[in-house]
Amino acid sequence: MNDIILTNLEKVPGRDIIKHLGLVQGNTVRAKHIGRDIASGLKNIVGGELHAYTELLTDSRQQAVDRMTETARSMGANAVVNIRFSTSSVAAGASELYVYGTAVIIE
Amino acid sequence: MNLAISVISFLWPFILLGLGWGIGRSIISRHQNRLEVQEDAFKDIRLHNIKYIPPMDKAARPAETHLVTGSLVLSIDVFRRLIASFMQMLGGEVNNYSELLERGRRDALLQLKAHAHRLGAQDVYNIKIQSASIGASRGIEILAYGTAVKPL
Repeated sequence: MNDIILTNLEKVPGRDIIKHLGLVQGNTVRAKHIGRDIASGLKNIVGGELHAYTELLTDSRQQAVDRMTETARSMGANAVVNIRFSTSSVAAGASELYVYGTAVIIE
Repeated sequence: MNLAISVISFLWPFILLGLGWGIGRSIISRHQNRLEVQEDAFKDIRLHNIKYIPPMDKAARPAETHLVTGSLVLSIDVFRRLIASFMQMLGGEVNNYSELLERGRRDALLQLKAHAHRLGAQDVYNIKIQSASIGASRGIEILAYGTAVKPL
């Protein structure tokens, strides 16, 4: 999985871009199952970090990145540059994690 | 018996608010202490939000570049949330949320530094920080990401 270079810079330092292959993206919408959602609701009374949510979003973001990387790989890219993340709340308790970037071939 | 139940049912919102106020305060101060300790531990990692790419000749290519991230979901207690909702009606600065986001950003940047540290990098470029609210009053997610550059 690690052979594709990911960066949010506009190019890979020290390497020349040979070809641009266009926009690649990955997304996922996730919700917490009800038990852990209730636990987080209780945690919400006293505040602090909601670990269940932190973990959920980290895992989901990784999945979005994996999907984007997979698309880039199928296009024959060896790097994705200028990556951006975005999180949005779609419904109560469900969030979309979205990641996009430009697939390129570097020397 | 009936009196006791009605007294409790009348009092429970205040009990929750009291719990939120007390435990919330200790959670906040513990979080701040942890942030100070960790900031000291990672103070040698430099963060840049410029797109500067270190000048390199072809002979000295960087060993690695890595996308690094740090994120967390943070919320405040019911008592502070209630005070904040009064402040929202009055207008002006909503201190409880300012403080929450400030702590969240510090923590997200620290996790980003920790990620860079694990990869052996000293510099992180083009850092972006963003926050999003997760569901109805479930808390705020803060995400920081950037590119860790590890020179040869």
